[in-house]
Amino acid sequence: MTRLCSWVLAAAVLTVSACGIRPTGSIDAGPGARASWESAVVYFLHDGRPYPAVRPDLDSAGPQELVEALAAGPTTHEQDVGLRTEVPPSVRLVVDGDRLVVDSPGRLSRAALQQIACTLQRSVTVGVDHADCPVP
Amino acid sequence: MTAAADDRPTTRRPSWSVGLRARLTVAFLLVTLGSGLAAAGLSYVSARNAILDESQEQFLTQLRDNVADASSRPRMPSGDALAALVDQVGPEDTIVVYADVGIGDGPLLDRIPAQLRRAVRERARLSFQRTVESGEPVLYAGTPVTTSNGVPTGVEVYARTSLAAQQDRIDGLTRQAAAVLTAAAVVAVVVALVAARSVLRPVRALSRGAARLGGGDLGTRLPVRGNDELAGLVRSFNDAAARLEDSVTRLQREEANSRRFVADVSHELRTPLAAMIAVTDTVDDEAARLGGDGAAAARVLSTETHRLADLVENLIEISRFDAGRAELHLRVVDVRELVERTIATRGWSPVVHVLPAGQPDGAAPPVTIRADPRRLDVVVANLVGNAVTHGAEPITVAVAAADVPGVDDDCVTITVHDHGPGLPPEERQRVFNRFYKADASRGRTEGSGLGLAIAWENVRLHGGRIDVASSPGEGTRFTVSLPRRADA
Repeated sequence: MTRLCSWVLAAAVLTVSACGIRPTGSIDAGPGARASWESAVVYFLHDGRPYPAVRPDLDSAGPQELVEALAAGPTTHEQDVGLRTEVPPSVRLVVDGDRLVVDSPGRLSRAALQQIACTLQRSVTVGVDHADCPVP
Repeated sequence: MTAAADDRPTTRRPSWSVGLRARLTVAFLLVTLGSGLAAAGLSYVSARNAILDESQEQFLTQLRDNVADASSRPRMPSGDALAALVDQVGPEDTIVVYADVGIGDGPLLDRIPAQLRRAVRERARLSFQRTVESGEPVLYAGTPVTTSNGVPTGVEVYARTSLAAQQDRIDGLTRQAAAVLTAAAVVAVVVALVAARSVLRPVRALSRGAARLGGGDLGTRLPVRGNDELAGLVRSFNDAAARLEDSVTRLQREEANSRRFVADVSHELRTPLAAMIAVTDTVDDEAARLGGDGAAAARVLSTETHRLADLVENLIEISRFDAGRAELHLRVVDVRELVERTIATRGWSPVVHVLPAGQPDGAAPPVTIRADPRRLDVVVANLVGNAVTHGAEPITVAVAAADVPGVDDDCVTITVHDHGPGLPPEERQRVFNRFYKADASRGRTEGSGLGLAIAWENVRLHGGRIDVASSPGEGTRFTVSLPRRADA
């Protein structure tokens, strides 16, 4: 009798809990949305971490131009949402055989290095340790 | 017997049949509701999931398509371009988030579940989450936007849609399932009642048939319907009833035959016996002159011939009762006077006292009744004769009008009381059996052995009865009760 009661109770609980539309956790539903265009992406800093920003006009640009874009800093709107850059305008990118050399008169901050590494990772193979870029 | 047969079905049938019907109904209901609930539950869950999956899938696809469409502008998304993306994605309940800042529907950003935002940020994949906002189910979806070659743009698009319509559809399903289940339960009850009826009807008919058969209606047969087990039972019942009727009919025929034989024999014996009595009376008259053994033999011959004649007369009387040819010739009779005359005629006056003693001046009120005086005379004579033969003095006969309202309303009783050894209880009713002998060792007595049986039949013919009371010290008391209105 007790077993029967517990079965009935379990069935009732199941029935009630199966009713209606229940809240869920977040559920993975596949790859994210893709825009219909290709674009270059440069990484500024947001809360001290690299954050992407699209530069469609630099889509076919070389590494040097990308670094220049970093030095140029975020647009007004990007500044409004809190993006900034630590890459100084004096930074130059020098191609030395199969290597890219970042040439800067002063000492580059770690964040600036990360900005450069994350920005360049799409176009060249970058060997920067701990390049903490957002996942593609 | 008849009363018992009538009582049994009325007291036992209802509770039994209600029990079976209730059991069948409950069983049908349980099976129907159980299977119905299981089927409805399963289809409900799958239908609900289908509805949700469909709407979610549609919503997510739309979100993806909208992002792709909105981004078809060449210069996207920077500055005002992001706002344009918002317009394109669908301004209503949609928000574009860039670097944690919402562009578009501002308040929406705070309502997006933190878990969803974290998931979109960390997994960088399309995700959705259902929540309930003030009782209304809501679906949130969010996706990061990448360029067509898969580079993250830092832009996230979130959208919200209400699931109230889906909730309504699902509630409709629930109501439908409940309605169908209710209808199924009603149908189950009806089917159970019909099934119970189809089972109970033959059972009830059998019960009634058995009661009728038990009540003596041997011609009872039940109609056999169908070819199932119950029909088999009814067929067996009919076979049993037929065999019972056959046996009873055969027994009755044999008994009637034997009774007719006895009656015939008695009638055939009557004429030669009459001649023999005439002869033995003559021989008896001459016995005194024969002297010695001849005289004794002549007396024995005479006595036994008279006894034989009495026996034959009694047998013929009994045969009339058996054949139902005994007739009552009713007249108004003064019972006390009749009793006194019967005793006087038989010469029993010295040993039998009639109570209360009739006053010489006839002051005692007459006890009148409509009865057949000849048969009443036989009854009194046989009872008193039995008392004289087997009982001991004092023997009393009491005549009373039992005017007590109630059971013996308006009866006349004749009580014959002797002070003999009495009768053991088991013998009391058997004294009215034919050829009953109180003492089995005593093969022959003066009586025919039919006297009390004839008295019994005569009283019954009057609609009365004879009761026997006896105790060892008190002797035996036969009480004849006769209804005063003997309409029979």
